[in-house]
Amino acid sequence: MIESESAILAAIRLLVSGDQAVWSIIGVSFAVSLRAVLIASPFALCIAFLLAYKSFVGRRFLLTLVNTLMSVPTVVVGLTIYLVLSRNGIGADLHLLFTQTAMIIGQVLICTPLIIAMAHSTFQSGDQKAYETAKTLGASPVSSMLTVIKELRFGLLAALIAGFSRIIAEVGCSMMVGGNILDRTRNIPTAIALETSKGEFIIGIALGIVLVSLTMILNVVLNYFQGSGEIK
Amino acid sequence: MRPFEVSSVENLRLLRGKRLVLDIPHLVIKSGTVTILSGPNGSGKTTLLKVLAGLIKADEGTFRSSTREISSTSAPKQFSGSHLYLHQVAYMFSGTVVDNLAFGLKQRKYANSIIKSKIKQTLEWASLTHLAYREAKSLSTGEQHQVALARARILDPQLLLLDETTAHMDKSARIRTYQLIRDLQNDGVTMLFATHEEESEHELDGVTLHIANGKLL
Repeated sequence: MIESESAILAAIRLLVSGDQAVWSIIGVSFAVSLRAVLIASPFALCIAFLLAYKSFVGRRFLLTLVNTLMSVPTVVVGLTIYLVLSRNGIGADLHLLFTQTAMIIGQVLICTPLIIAMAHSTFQSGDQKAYETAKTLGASPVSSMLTVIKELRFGLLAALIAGFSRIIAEVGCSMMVGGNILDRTRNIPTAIALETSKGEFIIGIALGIVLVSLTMILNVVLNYFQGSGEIK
Repeated sequence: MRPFEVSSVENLRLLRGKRLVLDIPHLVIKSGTVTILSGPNGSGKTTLLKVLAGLIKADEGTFRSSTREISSTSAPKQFSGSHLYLHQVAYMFSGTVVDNLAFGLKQRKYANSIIKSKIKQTLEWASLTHLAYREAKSLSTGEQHQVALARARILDPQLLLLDETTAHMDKSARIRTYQLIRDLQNDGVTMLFATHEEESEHELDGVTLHIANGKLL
């Protein structure tokens, strides 16, 4: 117990002292995962909206596919991208393997189905009248969709945060296509895995504290906004 | 300019799976009048109103005006913004009453000065000036319906489709809402008012049509 406490204190000291290696890892994590969720969100919200408000051939299949992709292990996503980008893959000429771009591609693929599924659920449970009212008042299809997104922003924000939380903490894909290269592709989860395997628990704990703190901050932000949107 | 003013609907048919939910060979809507659409729950009133608003696409049908006709396929696009549908329970967007009134005007890209002037005039017409900056979702059901009527009137609709507008109101809110509908009629707004209550037929001066099982009787 005493050892754990001293390790936690040492980890906090490491964070507060501004250790270059630790903050580089945190920087890579945020740079990759924030860009991934920003790229995935517009596409995911559009697909979720279409699934909730439009009927088209293949809608049920698409829903099933999304739900299936949600549970694909991140290492499988990583393996697929690795095969595509590696020397014998069809994307070898892009030279993206072991870069942040490859990690972003992987994380986009991982968070998109989750955001679609959660946003779809939010759209479905929302009031259909918002969409119809916007349309009848002369809003274009795109404007009607944006109006519904604005009306359901608190629920949709939760979907985006869930997507971000999933990719900021994933290790399998990042390890496989990023290569865990310090200052370039080493993010929080891959660093924790590496440092723990080396027996360097203090850095692992420090990075763990960052991840847990981040989750807490995101939930506080979400609760704040959802509190503003409570039904009165 | 009014892009398309419906005066009649012909051979309107709507299927849900194999079930025929609307089958209306001929329906005339006289300009500037109130047509009361009376029928029990489940008779097809809401569906007909939504088809006329372009919110539901009919499988077959032709909409005619004195000058041209439009098919069921292109009706949804043509009717958006001109045939306004009001739900049984009015939907208020997040924001104030003013924000709600501005919604349709902003879609039409009016200048801010015109938007302000139209909103002021409409709030006075509906006697809602005192509620202008109240959160629209926090208003009572009756007040929300009055805002919805004002939100429709501000757009100068060709056809106003009212779906059991007075169904969830107390007596005083009903009296006020019927008065607004009569004011709209005096302004020359064409309306189709769906109801299952006899009271509306007494309160409003218009032709009554009866609907059952998706067919006009």
